[in-house]
Order: sequence, then structure tokens, then C-alpha cells
Amino acid sequence: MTMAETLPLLILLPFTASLLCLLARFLNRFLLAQIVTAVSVAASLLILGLLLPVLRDQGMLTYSIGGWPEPLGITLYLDGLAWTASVMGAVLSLCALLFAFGEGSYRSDFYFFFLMLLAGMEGVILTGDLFNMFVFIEIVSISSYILIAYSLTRNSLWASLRYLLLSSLGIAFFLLGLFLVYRSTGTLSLHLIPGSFGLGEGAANLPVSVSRSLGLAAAMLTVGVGLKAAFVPLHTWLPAAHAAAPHPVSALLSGVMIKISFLAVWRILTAFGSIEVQSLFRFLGPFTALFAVVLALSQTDSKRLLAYHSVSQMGLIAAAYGAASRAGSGALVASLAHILSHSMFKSLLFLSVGAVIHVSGERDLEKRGRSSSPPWLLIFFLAGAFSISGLPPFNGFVSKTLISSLFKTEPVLATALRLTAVGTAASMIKLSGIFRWSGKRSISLGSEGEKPRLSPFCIASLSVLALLCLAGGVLPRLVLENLIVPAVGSSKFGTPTGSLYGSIYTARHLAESLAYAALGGMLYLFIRSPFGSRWLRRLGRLRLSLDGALLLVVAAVVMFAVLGGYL
Amino acid sequence: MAGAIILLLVLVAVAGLILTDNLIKKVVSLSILNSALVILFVWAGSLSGSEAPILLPGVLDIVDPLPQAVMLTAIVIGICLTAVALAIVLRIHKCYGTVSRRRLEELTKNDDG
Repeated sequence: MTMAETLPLLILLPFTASLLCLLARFLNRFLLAQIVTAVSVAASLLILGLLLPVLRDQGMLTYSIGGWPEPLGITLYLDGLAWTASVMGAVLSLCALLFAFGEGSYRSDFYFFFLMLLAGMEGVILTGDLFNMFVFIEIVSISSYILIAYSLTRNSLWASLRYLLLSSLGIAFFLLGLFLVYRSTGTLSLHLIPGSFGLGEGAANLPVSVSRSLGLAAAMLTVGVGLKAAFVPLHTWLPAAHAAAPHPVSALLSGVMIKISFLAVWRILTAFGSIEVQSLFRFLGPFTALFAVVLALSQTDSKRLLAYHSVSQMGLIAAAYGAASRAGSGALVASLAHILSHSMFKSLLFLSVGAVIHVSGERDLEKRGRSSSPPWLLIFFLAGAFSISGLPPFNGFVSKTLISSLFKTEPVLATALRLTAVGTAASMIKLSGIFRWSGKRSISLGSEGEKPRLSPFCIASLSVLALLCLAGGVLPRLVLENLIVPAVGSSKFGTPTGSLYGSIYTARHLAESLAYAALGGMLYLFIRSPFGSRWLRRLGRLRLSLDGALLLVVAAVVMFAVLGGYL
Repeated sequence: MAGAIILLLVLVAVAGLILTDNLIKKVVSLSILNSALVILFVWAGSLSGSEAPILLPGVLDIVDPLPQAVMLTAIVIGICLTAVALAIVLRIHKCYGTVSRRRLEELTKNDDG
């Protein structure tokens, strides 16, 4: 058995394990489901580790299912980008699982959907074919709808249905784009579309009608998958959904799922060579980042605040990705670096806030919980908060420095990114309000004495994530050279120059990041003032109706097509 | 002619999704949208030939089998999606006592998370 033949195992392992979880549900063996889940994720991680030397050697591994080669069969591809994303997914899902074990309130069917979600995400990364991507995206989507609504509370049901309707409309556009691709090229393989059919260099040889319909297809595919990557104006589902989900699911959705969707956009636009659509992200990204951080500031629910930050940070990732249309692969390094950093620190934030909610029983920042949380939880929260605010020595500092260096020559976009950094720091100060002491112990209703405790599993999960955040900041060169640069290098954009990450810890960058934090503190004082809080309260009440959100999806398709110059 | 009907179906479905107030009607619109796309693929595929793609002797002008095969999967996914959506709508009705989008948004206006 060659190493390439283990590729399908990465998808099949979680699938098989999920069936065992279903079996465990009928046998009423919760422990079996937990063990099977943990073992299958750990095994995927092991396989990925074994594949690394082979991947380094060959650059890309391929496996054709059933032995049928590309135009006829289904082929899986593992390149550097896929490897890095898979490792990120496996490590984070292991952390989320540990936390779920610690909470202990999930039945076997939770692990069934959890594993289906993992299998689907792995499939989206590995597939080299647009239709398979559609199938795996739908597996990811359906399991995430159910996981979001898992607690069956009123909010979670409504959030889940909103997400379902919006995402399905997006996927309909994805299918329409797929139709256009097949009609104009006769293939659905992402690896056969470039070259003779590509929009980039081969465009001159194509009839106008074909290149137009391919461009339109690129816009539709981008919106279809991009809806899950949640950049403005497609972010409308995310805050409610990620806030209503159980804590480990929030961490997994914000940490991994939206990144995987973004990488799918990345892959599609790489295949199409569609510079026009890609460069739109250069403007859309900073706008998304700033817009979402203002809304985040206005939230009073702790998890909703964090969910808006996911949108905002996706804006930064998209901005760096868009900048790559001019700055080349150095910008892609910055984008992927921030994908990794964000997945670590956002999971850490969601889980540490989740731990506080677990103990105190209160998620609203303006109310006091039934008991105060243990002070050492603050360490984990601060690691995440420092990281998201771009403060040294955490990984957020490294990737945010890389991103801001891309926009040096563009004052408007750079200002938007600076304001985002200030707003992020301010809202993290606001979020730390969840740690306040609960004043006088409320006259308890018999719950005294059985104060909820945190299990060692939760603490282990938080410690791993905090250490990863720290490692990314202390050893930036190690992470960039081993995980990120090879991943970007093998994805057809040529080899990176390496000049970008030469100097990260310079006095100037350190001073800048401290200045943003200080300005964030001042902004926090402003929003606590009567004038500021009145306006924020008004802003926080704004809700877009479902119909408006659906209309925005249609508008986004038109926008991408028109601005890309295809309609 | 067939193309015009498919276009009409897509427009009806998208309009239904956006304009109707009842959540069940929204889910039905989604189902129509999915069917319209399936018909689009199968129709476009059928233009490529005149005979079923079973390679017996004498069969030469076959239609492209890929769109049909692909749509079989899309139909299955569409059914799963409709089922999950209706199950969630049912739960929503149990919790809130309504399936009207407008009423639901009024009820959840002050909720967080």
C-alpha cells in the first residue's frame, strides 16, 4: 500500500466512526461514542503526520477512486494547502472534543453529527472536483444546521433555520455556476479548468461568450461557497448561529468551518485564475473587518460579540487574500497565517467564555451570574484576547503585522484596518466584563453547594489552545516556514519571496500594537459614557430581517458579476 | 421553450423564498428551486444526443450521461435538506406557536444569542 492510498482514509475514518456513534446511541453506550470519536480524530492526525515526509518529497499526492483517472473518475488531491488545513482541523476538533467531554452533557448523536461535519470538511479540502465539493459542502451544512439547533432552545432553532435558508440559496447559485462551468468547458475538475480553459493567460484564445460565462460562473461559485465564509454582505447568518450553538460547536464552526469555506473559494478562484473577483476582496475585506467590529462593540451577549469578531477577522483574511492579486504570494502567506492564528485564538476565546458561562450560568455582559468564575480562567481568556487584539507575544501579533504590512501604500484601506484593531481591543475589554465578581451571593434557590465545576478535560483543552497561541507568537519563523510557506508555495502561485516575514518583532511594530491597545482602552471609556452607550444600544438592536438577508445574497451575486466585469 | 419554463421556475422559486411570509412556503420554494436546477441540468444534458447512454451495438448518438448521474445525487441532497428544514420548522412551531417570519422576528427581537 502506497502512502497515497491512505488519502480516502482521512474522509472514511470519521464517516465510519460516525456510524459507530449511531450504533452506540441505540446501545446506549455514551462512553463508546466518545472513545470512537477521539480515536478517529487522533488517527487522522497520525495519518497526516505520516503523509508529511511523502508530501515534502513529491509536492502533491493524488488518489483516483476505483482507479479511474481524472476526466472520468473521482480524484482526491493532497497538496500543502490541504495538509495544513487538515492538520488545523484535526487539532482544533480534538480540542473541541476534549471540551465537549468535559461538559459531559452531549449524547451519542452529538458525536455522530460532529464526525459527519469533520468528514465533510476533510472532503471539501481534499476533493479536486466541483461537484464533489458541492456534495461535501452539503454534508458540512446539514450537520452544522443540526449541531447549531442541538440544544433545541428557541433561539438556536430560529438561528439554524435562517442559516439553512440563506445557505441553501447560496448553494443553488453554486449549482448554477457549476452548470455554466460544465457547459462551457465540459469538465468539472478544478485541475482541468485552468490551462486551455483558464480565464487568466489563456483568456485571449477564448471566444468572448465562453470567457464571460466562465467569469459569471466564478462569481456564482464564489458567492455560493463564500456565504459560509461570511464576508459582508453574506455574513447575516453567522452571529446568531455561532452564538446559539453549544460551546464546542461554536469553537469548531468559527475556528475551522468558515476557514474551510474560505479555502474552497481560494481553490476555485485559483483554478479559474479569476484575478477580477480576487481583487474585489481587497476592498471587501477591510470593509467587512471594520463593519463587523463596530457591530461587535454594540453587542451585550458575550458569544454574539465573539461571533461578530469572527466576521471581522474573516475580513482581515479576505483582505490579505485580495491583496495577493497585486502583491503576489507574500500576501497569501499573510492570509493563511491569519487563518491559522484566528482558528487558534477564536476557539480559545469561545471555549474560555463557554467555560465561564458554564460556571456562572450567565452569558449577558450586563447581568451578574449566580457565582463568579475561578480567576485562573482569566489567564486563558487573556491569552485569546491579547492574541485577537494583535498584542505580542501571541500569534495574532505575527499575522496581523504581516497583513498590515501589505496595505502600507493604501491610506484608506490601511486606516480601516487600524480602526479595526482599535475596535477589537475595545470590545475585548468589554468582553472581559464577563469575569466580574458576582457581588453578594444571590439568595440561592437551593443551588448552593452544587456550584458547577470545570472538569480537567476542559482545562486541558484550554491549555493546549493557549499554548498553541503562544507558540505561534514566540516561534513565528518555525510556523511560517513549516506550515504556511510550503502550503502556499505548492498551490500554483509560485514560490514566495520570503522578504515579508523577515522582520516581525521590530520596535515599530511593537509600538504600533501597544498604541492600538491603548486607543482601544480610550474607545472603551467612550462607549461606557452615556452618549456612547446610548448610540451603541441603538446599534445593537438593529436586526436585518430574513427576507432582507436573502435579498442580499441575490444582490451579492449581481455585485460580484458586475464588478468582475462579466455581466 | 423549455429554457424559458426553467427560467420561470427559478424566478418563481427565488421570489417565493424572498417574498412569502410563511416558513413552510419558504421551504417549499427551496424545494422548487432545487427541482428547477435538476431540470436545467437534465434538459441541457439531453440536447447532447438522442439515445440512452447504454452502449449496445448500434447505439451511437448517446446523450452525455454525466449531468443525469450528477443530478441523482443532487436530488437526494435536496430531499435531505427539505426534511431537515421541515423538522426545524416543526420545532419552531412547537416553541413559538407560529410559522410566520414577521411574528417570529418580533418575538426574537430582544433575544440574544
